[in-house]
Amino acid sequence: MLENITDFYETFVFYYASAMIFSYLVLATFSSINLMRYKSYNSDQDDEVLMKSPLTPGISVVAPAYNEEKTIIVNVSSLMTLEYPLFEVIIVNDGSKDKTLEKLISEFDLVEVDFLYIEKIKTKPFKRVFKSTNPKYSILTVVDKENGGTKADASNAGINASVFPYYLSTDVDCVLNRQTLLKMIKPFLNSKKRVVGVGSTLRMLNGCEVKDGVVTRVSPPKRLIPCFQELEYIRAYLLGKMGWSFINSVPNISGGLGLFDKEIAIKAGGYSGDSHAEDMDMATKLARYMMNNNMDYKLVYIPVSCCWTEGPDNIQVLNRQRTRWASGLAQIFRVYRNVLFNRKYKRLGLIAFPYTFIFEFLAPIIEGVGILFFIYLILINKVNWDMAFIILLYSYTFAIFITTLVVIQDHIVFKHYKKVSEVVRLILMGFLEPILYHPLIVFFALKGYFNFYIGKELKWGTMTRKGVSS
Amino acid sequence: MEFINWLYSLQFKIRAYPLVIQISIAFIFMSLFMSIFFMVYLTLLRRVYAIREKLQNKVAPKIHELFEKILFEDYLDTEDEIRKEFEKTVNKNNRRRRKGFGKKKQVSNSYEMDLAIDTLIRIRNNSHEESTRYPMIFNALQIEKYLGSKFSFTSSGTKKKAISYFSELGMANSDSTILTYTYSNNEEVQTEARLSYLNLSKNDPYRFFDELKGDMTKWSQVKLMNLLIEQSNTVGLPNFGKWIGYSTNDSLVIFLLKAAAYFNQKKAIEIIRSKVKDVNHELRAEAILALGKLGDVEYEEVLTRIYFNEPDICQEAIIRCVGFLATGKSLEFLKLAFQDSKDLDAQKNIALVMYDYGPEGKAMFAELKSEMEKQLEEAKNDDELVDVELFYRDLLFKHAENDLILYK
Repeated sequence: MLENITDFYETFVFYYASAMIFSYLVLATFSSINLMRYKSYNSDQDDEVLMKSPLTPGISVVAPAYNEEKTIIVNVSSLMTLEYPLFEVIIVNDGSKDKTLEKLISEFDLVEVDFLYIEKIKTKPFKRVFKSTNPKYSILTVVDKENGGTKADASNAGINASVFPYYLSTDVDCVLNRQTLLKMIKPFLNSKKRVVGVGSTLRMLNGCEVKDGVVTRVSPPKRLIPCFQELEYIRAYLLGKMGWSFINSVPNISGGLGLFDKEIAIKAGGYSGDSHAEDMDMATKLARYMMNNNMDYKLVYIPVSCCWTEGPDNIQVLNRQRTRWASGLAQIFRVYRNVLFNRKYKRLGLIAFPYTFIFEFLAPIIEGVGILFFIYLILINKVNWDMAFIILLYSYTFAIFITTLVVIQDHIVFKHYKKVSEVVRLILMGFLEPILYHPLIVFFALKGYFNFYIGKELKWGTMTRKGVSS
Repeated sequence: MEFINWLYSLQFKIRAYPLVIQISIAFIFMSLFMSIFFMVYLTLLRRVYAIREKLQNKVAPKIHELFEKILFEDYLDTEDEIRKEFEKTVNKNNRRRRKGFGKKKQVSNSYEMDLAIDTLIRIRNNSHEESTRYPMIFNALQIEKYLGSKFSFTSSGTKKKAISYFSELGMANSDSTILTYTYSNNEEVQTEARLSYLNLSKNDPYRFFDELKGDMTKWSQVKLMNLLIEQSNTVGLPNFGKWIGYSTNDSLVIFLLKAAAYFNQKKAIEIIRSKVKDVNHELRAEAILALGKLGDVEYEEVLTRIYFNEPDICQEAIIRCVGFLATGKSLEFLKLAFQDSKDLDAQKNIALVMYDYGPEGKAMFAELKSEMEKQLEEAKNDDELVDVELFYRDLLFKHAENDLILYK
């Protein structure tokens, strides 16, 4: 009996890992084609075209803030200096308990105004709107509302207060590339299908040099945890999302940076106010809305690094972040269970959602069980060490192969790292990641699922920030 | 020797393993090989980038300076002199000598040529001075021949880039080369070629307005509009009314309506009026807006008359059109439209137009506002719950007249 179970599990894990490796190879191929296509058909001159044009559409930049007093001023100033001919910046103070709002009021000369706030998407009670008396900050709007417990609820309030047909969803702790709006609006304009959302690459701010709210020098974080995340982000965006974008099956658009079609977002119901995975929630809602109404649509990713965000630099903060993400993912599969394996939702229901479910949601569970099973086999002395070593190498060498590939893809997009030592450090992370970082991620994911299962309440904004040093 | 023996014996060992392990081993070798290959490739890639960066930082400013002297200070008289001076600037002669010693200092001539072309485009776009000496540089550097070579056995992206270079440099002789690609199967190349043809050709440049199939992307519209703006300052523009009248491509007509309004083509008014009856709502709305921007005051009455039978998008266009015309004749209409509307967004648009509708508009705005305040006051005095609609309308007036709110 035990032998049968052992055989079944070993075979299952091998085929599961092989299917995952195969899917990575397919995604690598798709993303490489997509990336080369992007490089061929886009150039910096396009930015000038948009800057000069009277037809360039307006964009509302929506950034929710919760207890962000350390970074709020630098980051809001940075948002207001984006290069784009027509945009507004909307900061949503989601009932911060620190001095976030006070700092905004004093720094940007804000006063309360009678603002026609129309609640197109339901949110926790809205309190008031502030505008600046200083013409220099006339594009800034600050919305103050009661804490809704999620970034999603705050984003909805920002959308309600926005005026332009597109909105950029970002976090106030993010530092954006000056050309972000110019780069991200182009896919909306250059498509015959209706583009409902565009995402772009996010990277770690830790380790970068920032001056006046602009990243002036990019280098991988010096500390281990954020450096692992830098690699993880590059891989997820350049290989994963660029690959999914190639077959128009993007499962999510990062909450840190996404540009959306406001009309469709509102019609789809906005973000689910209680969602902790608002990135996947919104992408799913948009796709579902378009398919339910028989409309052609596209969700697009561009490979350009437009956003730098401060990542957790120690295990405690990483724990909080990843546990929340895992709970959010579990929540998504509960809320959208009718999308999973549903033919009606085409590629979303039959490819992107099942892939995320099998290879992202279930992976920590299968790995966790695998580790326990392996320990059990060691204890009863049933491990064939030669074979085990080969199987381990099988996954490990493939992880390194993928690391080197994404570093190349990253270089093809843009050479961010000046020094060779920085690139070497990043590649080295690829060697260490499966041993040091990955087990942590698995553990936090399982913890997140458990928290979700027992219904533990989640809060947003628990990320401890050190602030950006100039 | 021992290692070779071990390696030799390994294949027998591997053959004895189960199939899954054999597959795993094959994958391990593939992964290792690919990782090493990618690392080598990465090193080469960084080397190429480093050389390009150096060129960009050191040589590009020199090229810029040289071209500006040639173009605006009549520096150098012949194409031969220009070519020699350019080669000196990019250090070509030294590089060849070093190459003999096995040290290739620069990436390739193509990068230098691209650098030169980018510099020329930047000067053309940003300089306020005109120069007749561009063709001299084109000939000296054989730019046409160089760009022509980009069409042989290259990717669509390269072709697209070469076409845009021709256009941005204003190389009118290249229109025959470009014409070949105006029917390319690749949409990006086709669009770029058609826009470039429109920019460069003197032989019926707008012919593609007649041949456009399918919707124009907004990106094409953005690029085309920029091109038309440039042409309006140089060669002038045709009357777009011609295509607005007979084209069956709605996306083109919508674009041309925008263009006709932007370039104030009053001659097109008559044809635009006919589009107010079109079945396509979006097109109809754009036609109404165009009439407003073109100041067609005679048609205002017709528009206000049809207002209540139109869909939302056209109603909004009529309100904005009335605002553009600002004749003072439509005050009562605005008041009626405001009172009739149940949608807050629509009411806001009407209030904003009213507020900017000259002194009479402001007076009516104030009148409606005071009525609202009175009703609110009464509701408060009677200790009644304030009607939500009333509350929002009051807020709407305050919102509309608040100068601190930039985008309303």
